[in-house]
Parts: sequence; C-alpha cells; structure tokens
Amino acid sequence: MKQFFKSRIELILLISVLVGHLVLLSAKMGQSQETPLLRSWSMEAAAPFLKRVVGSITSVSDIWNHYIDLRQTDEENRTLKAKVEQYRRALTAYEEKIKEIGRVDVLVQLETSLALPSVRANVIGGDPTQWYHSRILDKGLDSGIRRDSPVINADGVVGRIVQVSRRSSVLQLITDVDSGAGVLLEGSRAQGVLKGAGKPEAYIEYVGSNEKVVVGEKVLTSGLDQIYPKGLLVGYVVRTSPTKQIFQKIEVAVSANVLKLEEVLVLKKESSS
Amino acid sequence: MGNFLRSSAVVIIIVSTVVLQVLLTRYFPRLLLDLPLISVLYLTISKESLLWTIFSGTAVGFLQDSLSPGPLGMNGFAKISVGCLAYMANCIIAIDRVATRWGMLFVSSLLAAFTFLMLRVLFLDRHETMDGSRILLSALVNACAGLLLFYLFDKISRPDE
Repeated sequence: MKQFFKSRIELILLISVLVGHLVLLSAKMGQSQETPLLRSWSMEAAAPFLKRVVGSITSVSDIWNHYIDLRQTDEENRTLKAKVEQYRRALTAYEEKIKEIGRVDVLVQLETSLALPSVRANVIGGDPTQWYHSRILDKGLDSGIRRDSPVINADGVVGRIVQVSRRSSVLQLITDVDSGAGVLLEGSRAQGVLKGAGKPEAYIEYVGSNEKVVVGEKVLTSGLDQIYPKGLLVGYVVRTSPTKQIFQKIEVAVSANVLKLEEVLVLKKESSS
Repeated sequence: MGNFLRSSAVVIIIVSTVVLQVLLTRYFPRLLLDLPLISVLYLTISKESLLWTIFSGTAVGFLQDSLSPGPLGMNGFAKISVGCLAYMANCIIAIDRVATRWGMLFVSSLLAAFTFLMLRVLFLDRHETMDGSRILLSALVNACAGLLLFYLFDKISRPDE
C-alpha cells in the first residue's frame, strides 16, 4: 500500500471522502420534500448557462450551414447566392418559428382545457449520467413548480418533478427506472402501477392475472398515487404476459415521445410545500 | 500564479465536461459516452496525484448527482473508487501508451458501472436487471472516445511533446 500513497494523510483523506459519500447516500434526500441547498445551488449555477447555450444552438447551426454553403458557391454568383441564402435562412427561421408556435399552441390549448393551473417550460438539458431518464427544465420555484409536480405534453404524461431550484428543475421521465405511477386501464378498469424500465417502454405491475387486458387499450392515470391527476393519458397496451402467478405483466408504449421533448407543461401542485 | 491558472483550468475542464454531457444528452438521449468519467481518469493519470482524483471525482460526481434524479453521493463514490484504482494501476504500470490507456478506460468504465449498480442495490434496494450489452457497449465507446480526448488534452496541456 505504501507505494501507492505518498503520505498517510492521502489515505485518510481518501477513506474519509468515500465514507462521506456513503453517509450522504444513505441520508437519501427522498425523506425530505425540500431540495438540499447544495444541490439547489448547483442547479441554479448550471441552468442559465444551459438555457443560453440551447437557445443559441439553433442559430449557430444556421450560421454554420450558411458558411459551408457560401464556401461552395461560385465566385461570380457570390453576392446573388448570398442573398438567396439569406432569404433561405430567414425562411428556415420562420418555418422553425411556425413549428414552435404550433407546438406552443398545442400546449396553450391543453393548458386552457385543463382545470389545473400549469406552467409551460422548455427542456434545457438531458441527464448528466447514463443511468437515469431525466431532463432539466428552465422553470423552477419562482414559476410555482414544486417537487412532485406532474409534467405532461400534448401526447400525454411525461413524468414528474423530482428536484427543484429557483429557476430550474429536474424532470424524472415516466420511463426512468425509478419512476412509478398509479394507472388504470380504460376498458377493463383494472388498476396497477406503471413502472419505468430505462427504455422507451414501461410496464404495469400488480394487475391480477384474471383481469382481461386487451392489446391497444388506453392506459390512464388513476390518481391514487396523489401525484398525477386522474384521467391523463399515459400510453397504450402493446403486450400482455399472462402467467400462472397472481399478477400479469403488461408492456405499455408510452404515448409521449420522451426522447424528443422540447416543451412541456408542468401542472402546479395545489398547496404542498 | 501558474499553479493557480492550472488549477482554474482543471476546474473549468471538470465543470465543462458535465455541462457538455448535459447538453449532448439533451439532443442525443441515448448517448453512451461518460465524459465526466473520462475527465476524472485523465486528471488521475496526468497529475499522478491521488488528491486530484479525490477532488475531481467529488466535484464531477456531485455535479452529476445534482442535475439528475438520483441521490447525492452515487457518482462521486463511483468515480473516486475507479479513479483510485486507475491511480494504483498507473503506479505499477505507466499508463501512457495507446493500448494501456485503452485498457484502463475500458476496465474503468466497466468498474464504474458495476460500482454504481452495486450502490443502487446496497443503498436504494433497487434490484433491476443489469443491461450487460449496454454496459459493455458504453465501455467500448468510452474507451475509444477517451483515447481521442486524452490525446486532445495532452496536446492542450503539453503542447511541446
């Protein structure tokens, strides 16, 4: 061991830092509804930067494409082509804007159709690890978002807020391995728990083997978990695995395209914290 | 002053790998690359000091955990442990050739994954099935991308060599 550590202090420091991590880990902030201060600071520091970078990536890519095109143009037609390119850029920007307005419009319609107060938020980051399915949103406590606030989009349930700071929040997708939601099947009215598997599909557990579940059946939130309001679309049954055991396993195709999220609607919790 | 600048550069590298990882997964959610792990391993090998491993592993792990749904401490523990093993390996055989670097990155990536999963079982009581092929593929991607990044970092920090 002596050859690895230059002094005893290094070894002591290593052991204490590792033990410190384990203590932190065993404290599992899940017991508290508040996001720890250090975590909140990190999120606060990262969010404005991410927001700016994501906002400018589209325009930067436009400029880059424009530059490449200019290099390829013939010298004689440079001015003319530049002008055409300029118009094309403007058109692309308008088209992108129209698409964005379309997406926002759908969210606005959804917002007005819901009885619950909600906040529109943009996705500004993905998960920094390879282990979770989560997204970073550009809205936080200042916009009325709280921990456990449900998140939806026009296609259905997306997930819930698990960490929140003043101006950003972490959204746990419904497909995350640690995610769970109370659901019911529209036709059979059987209730179960939808669990993520770290894949685009999710699974319903605790549905009795005697329940008749039809492929293609709608899966809705049951409201029993006290996180998601009752009746929101989650997805559709794609496969059932009848077993001789008490419960059957049901595979669900999540209706929201969680891999391509851009804007979402966060439903405000009524009072909570 | 030189030391201060170098240390500041290291802090910037650490923070930027996490931020870059967050931005990349925003656009490519299925990305298998672990940039923060690669940066910790590079600092471990290049600085040849355990203190750098502890510092960078803690900082990177804390930042990653802060921006993800998981509990604080998971990534920090995994990265320090793996970094420490890489440091010990570097004391025995100098990890400065392409093959040894590739091997170290590959094994470290696998170990980081196993440490993370082990912590989930021990501390969170989560017994999900392990996606072996994904872990293996991720280790391959990290090893190959890590080689390129190590070369790039070498060029930046030691331009004369």
